[in-house]
Amino acid sequence: MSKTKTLDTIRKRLFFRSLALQASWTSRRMQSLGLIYALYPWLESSNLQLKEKVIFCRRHLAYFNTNPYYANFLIGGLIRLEDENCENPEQLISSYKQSLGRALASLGDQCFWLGIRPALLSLSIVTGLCSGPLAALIPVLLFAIAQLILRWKSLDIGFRLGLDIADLMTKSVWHRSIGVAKHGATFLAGILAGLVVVWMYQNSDATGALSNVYIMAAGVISFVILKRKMPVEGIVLTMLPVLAVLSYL
Amino acid sequence: MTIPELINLLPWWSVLAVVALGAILTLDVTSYAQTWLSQPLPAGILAGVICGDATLGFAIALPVQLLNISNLPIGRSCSGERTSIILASVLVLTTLGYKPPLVLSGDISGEMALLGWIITAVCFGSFAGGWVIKVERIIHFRLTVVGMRKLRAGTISELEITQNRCMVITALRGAILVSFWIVFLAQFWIPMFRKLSPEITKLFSMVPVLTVAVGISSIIELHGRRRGWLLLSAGSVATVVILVLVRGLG
Repeated sequence: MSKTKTLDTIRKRLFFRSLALQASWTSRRMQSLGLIYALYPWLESSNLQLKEKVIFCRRHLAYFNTNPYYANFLIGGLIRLEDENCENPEQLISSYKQSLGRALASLGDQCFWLGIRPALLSLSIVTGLCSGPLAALIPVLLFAIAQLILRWKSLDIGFRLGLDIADLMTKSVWHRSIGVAKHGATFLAGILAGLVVVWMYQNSDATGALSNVYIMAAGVISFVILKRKMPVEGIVLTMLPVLAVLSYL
Repeated sequence: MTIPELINLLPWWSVLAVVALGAILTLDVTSYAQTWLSQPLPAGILAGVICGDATLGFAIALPVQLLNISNLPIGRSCSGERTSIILASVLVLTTLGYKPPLVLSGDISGEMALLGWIITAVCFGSFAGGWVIKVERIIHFRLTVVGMRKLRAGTISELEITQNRCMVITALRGAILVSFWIVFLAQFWIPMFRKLSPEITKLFSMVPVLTVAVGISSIIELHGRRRGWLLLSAGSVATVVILVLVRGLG
């Protein structure tokens, strides 16, 4: 079977299964079982004997963790390596998985969790406030489609590049996209902060100017508490007694 | 309100649809696809659409989303679970005919306190949901240990079974939590609001605005370094200037 044909025949199944990478997540092995589940279509289509299939499963049962949005680069690459039936697969595949997995986890976490998510949700809030609640769904729906396309395409890219994916990782576009996402998130947060200022000013008669001072003070206090990594819900609940005292004054 | 009265009041198809949405969105959080439709804001709007009032869904979910905008679900961290209680809040409040005001848009009305009361429930619910997630992780761990043992022994089919069981448990967790919060809110939490003194009610009217302050602080904490301050200030000043030019100071 030619290399491209291998991926083409199982690509759809690989894709849908790769979406469930974290379904059986555990703190000890993280996504290892999910990875074998994603790779299963290849295992099924291979001509391996049961004994070899068990060896394959054991090989991939080791600790594995990466960012789910970039995982398909690695899954595509693993299919390529398994397909090539290289010598000494244990060591090569293990080091490929661990090193690429870590690199993708770091890039993905910075890009998606620290950059795109705060930016997208801020955009969603601003869109909702300006154009109505249903419009707030548009940025999230666009992201949902875009990330599915990324996952679909990255399977092919990972498969085509195989070990050469390391070259792709060194490109500056990754870090540039992280920077753009983070800066976008910060700018959109600024827009939200501006909305708060105007809204508080417009409602100062209803809330009382003093309430606005309390709220700003609460913002500063929560900023200090957040530095100590307290959950945000905890901060709100902690502030309740403080506000109770203030409201009686 | 007793549970039979509540059951009579709630439209059964809405309850079924919201519980099913809870199961699907719980899967979306980490188990399958991670589309972010399970984030508080889209989840609240979707529940609002099902219950016939998308604006109410937006009004409830907006302060909670602001609170969680910088939440980082990385690795082993468990930062709580607020989707299920938001879905339940939207369903119960739509059924009871409440109209909470929209934070950051329009005037503050007397209903702000109820919104604050609901946000407080979401904060408590998030911690409770976090504990349920920890229990679910223990169950997943036990299932995967058994699955891996069988897989090593050569039972390849165990892979599918273990993965599917984990997904069913996650979906069930979502459905059960939504059902629980529906009963909790309608039976206990919202009736309790009517018994609060005026001073305490006034206190809860501050909570939605507090969530906005905490949310903005969390974003500043996340990004407010060096160039971040410049971008934050630029965004704020630009918004204030544009709004003042468009609407005027009134």
